[in-house]
Amino acid sequence: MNCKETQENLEAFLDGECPRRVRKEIKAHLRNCPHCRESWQEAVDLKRLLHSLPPERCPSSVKKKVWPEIVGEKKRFWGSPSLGWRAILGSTLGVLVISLLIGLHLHHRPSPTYSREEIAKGQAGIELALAYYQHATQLSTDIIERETIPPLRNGLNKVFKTFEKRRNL
Amino acid sequence: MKRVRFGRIVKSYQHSIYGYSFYMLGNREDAEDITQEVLIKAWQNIDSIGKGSIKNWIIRVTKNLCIDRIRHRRLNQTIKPDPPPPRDPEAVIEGREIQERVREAIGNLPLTLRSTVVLREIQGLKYREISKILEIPINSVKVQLWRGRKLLRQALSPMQNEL
Repeated sequence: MNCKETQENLEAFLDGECPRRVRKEIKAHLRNCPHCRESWQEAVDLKRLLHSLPPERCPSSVKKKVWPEIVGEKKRFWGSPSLGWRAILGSTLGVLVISLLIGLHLHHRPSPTYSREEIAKGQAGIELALAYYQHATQLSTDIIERETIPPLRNGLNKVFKTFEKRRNL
Repeated sequence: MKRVRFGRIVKSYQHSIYGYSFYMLGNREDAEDITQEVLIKAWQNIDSIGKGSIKNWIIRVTKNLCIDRIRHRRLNQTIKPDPPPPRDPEAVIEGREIQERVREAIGNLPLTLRSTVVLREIQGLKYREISKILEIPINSVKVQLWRGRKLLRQALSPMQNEL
C-alpha cells in the first residue's frame, strides 16, 4: 500500500471500518512511513480530544414536560364523544357481570350439581362478555389488562373452582 | 403496552437525542426543546414505527428538527448560544477550557459536516448506520468525516500547540 492509499483509508482504519486485509496493509505501511505515521498521530490526537468530552445527560425536567402531553392525550381520548356511549355500555355490562358473579357466589341455597360441559359453557359465556366489554370500552389496553381484566379473571377462576368443589362433594 | 414501549424508548434514547441536539444547536435550552418534541412525536407515532427501525427514526427526526430550528434562527436572527466562559490563560490546561473549545469548534462546522461528525464521534454510530440515517452513500459519509475532521484539526491546532 502506498502513501496515497494509506491516507485515503486512514480515517476508516481509525474508526474500525476497514476490512482486515486493508488494516494489515495500513499497519505495515505506518511502520515504515514517518509521514503517514504523523498523519495517523494527528488523527489519533483529534479523536482523543473529541472523546474527552463528557457525555451530555438529558435533564429530568424534559421528561416532566413530556408527561402532561401524553396524559393530555389520554384525557382527550376519554372525553371523546364517539367513545362516551361505549364507555357507558361497557361499564354497565361490567357491573351486570360482576353482580351476577357475586350473586351466584353468595347465594346460600344448596347449589345444584353442574356438569363439566355446563361449567365450560358458562365459562365461555363469561369470557365472551369480558371480550365484548374490553372491545366496547376501548379503554387504554394497558389499564384494562393491568387493572381490570386480571382481577376479574382471578375472581372468575375462584368461582368456577368453587363450583367444581361443590360438584365433586 | 404503548406506555411500556414508550418508557423503554425514553430510557434508551433520551440522552442520545439530547446530546446530538446540544452539539448541533450549541445550547442546552434548544436541546431540551428538541428532545421534548422528539419524544412527543415518538409517542404520537409509536404504533407505526417498526421495532427494528426505532433508532434510525429517532435520530432522523432529531436531525430534521435541529435543522429546522437552525434555519428558523437564521431567518429570525435569534441565535442564543450558551454564554462562553471567561478565557483565563492559566485555565487553558484545565479540562473544562479544552472541552469548551472543542464544543465551539464542532459548533462552527458547516451543518452537514457537523451532523456527520457528531453522529460518528459523539454518538458512536457506524458508517453504515450514518449512511442509512442521512440517506447518503457510505463514501459520502467518509468524505464528510474527512472534511469535518480536517476543519476541526485546523480550529484546534492552536490549542494543541499550547498543550
